[in-house]
Amino acid sequence: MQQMIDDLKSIPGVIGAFGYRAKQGILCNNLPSLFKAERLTEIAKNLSKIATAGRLNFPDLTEVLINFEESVVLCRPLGVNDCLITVCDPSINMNLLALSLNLALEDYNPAAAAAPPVAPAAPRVDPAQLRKSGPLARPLQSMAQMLAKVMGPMAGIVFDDALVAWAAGQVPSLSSLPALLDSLCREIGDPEKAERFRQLVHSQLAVNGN
Amino acid sequence: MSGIERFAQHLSKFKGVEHFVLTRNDGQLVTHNLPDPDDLASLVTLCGLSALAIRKTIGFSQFKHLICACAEHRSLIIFPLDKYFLGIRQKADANQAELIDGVNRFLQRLIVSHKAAG
Repeated sequence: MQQMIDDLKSIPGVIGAFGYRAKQGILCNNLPSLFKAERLTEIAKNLSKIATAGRLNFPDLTEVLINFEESVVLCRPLGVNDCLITVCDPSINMNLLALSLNLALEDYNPAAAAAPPVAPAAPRVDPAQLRKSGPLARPLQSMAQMLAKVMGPMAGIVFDDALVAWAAGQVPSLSSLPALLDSLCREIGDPEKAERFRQLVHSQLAVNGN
Repeated sequence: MSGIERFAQHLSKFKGVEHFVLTRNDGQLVTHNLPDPDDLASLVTLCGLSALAIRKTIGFSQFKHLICACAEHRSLIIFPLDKYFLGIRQKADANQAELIDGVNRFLQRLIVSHKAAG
């Protein structure tokens, strides 16, 4: 199943996915570490509840899709106990995702999926704490605001994800902020927007990056 | 004609709507166009509440709609409306995107006129 969710993540617009088995928990997960294991379990329990209740009324239920302002959450039940949950950008091509899921699930083997549960890598720092207090709080808040101007609603998730990765790779400090800036520019993807973000940060914080 | 009757009449005329139920978030059935709406009303309430719970857990801002996709394109679509949930069973030949867009615009108009009325 890990291979399956890694393949799914390569589809444009897919933020990540995870597999869930009732009574066992999360089977695999490649969502950003911002999506904590206990939250994913809670989400999966609610989606399983919807799918189970849905099948009582509609035995031909194939999937559950919830559209939120920032993201789309898609739950594809796999047999009785398992489900594959994908989190995507609202602009995703649903036909492409459905086709990819159908192809991936053709080879799905529930027994093989029962590998030991994989929890997401625990962050060494709490991004909320870094942004809340200490010498990095103000520059990080400014960078997050500027990223939101450039990227829109997904900025919060992208920023926290990059922040955790940045803090895990080095001691978080003012002098290492350029590395965070570079990482965020890579995450933006669009060179024009990345350059705009770099200039905004440079003009307000004097952080240069590469 | 009461506001609820007008609401039901308007929904019945929507292209692509096969059945609908409007429930309060405590499960109370408000209006419908089914001979036996109880099961669907319970499902719509449970799905709506679970979607709101997911929204809270994940920290998203707005729950827009939920789709229980069924074979032959007869999906159940659930929309939040303040403290109510509207569940719509779409016809097999309906264009789902158009139906969702139309219902959203209708609900948005309701919200705006409700706010304007104070």
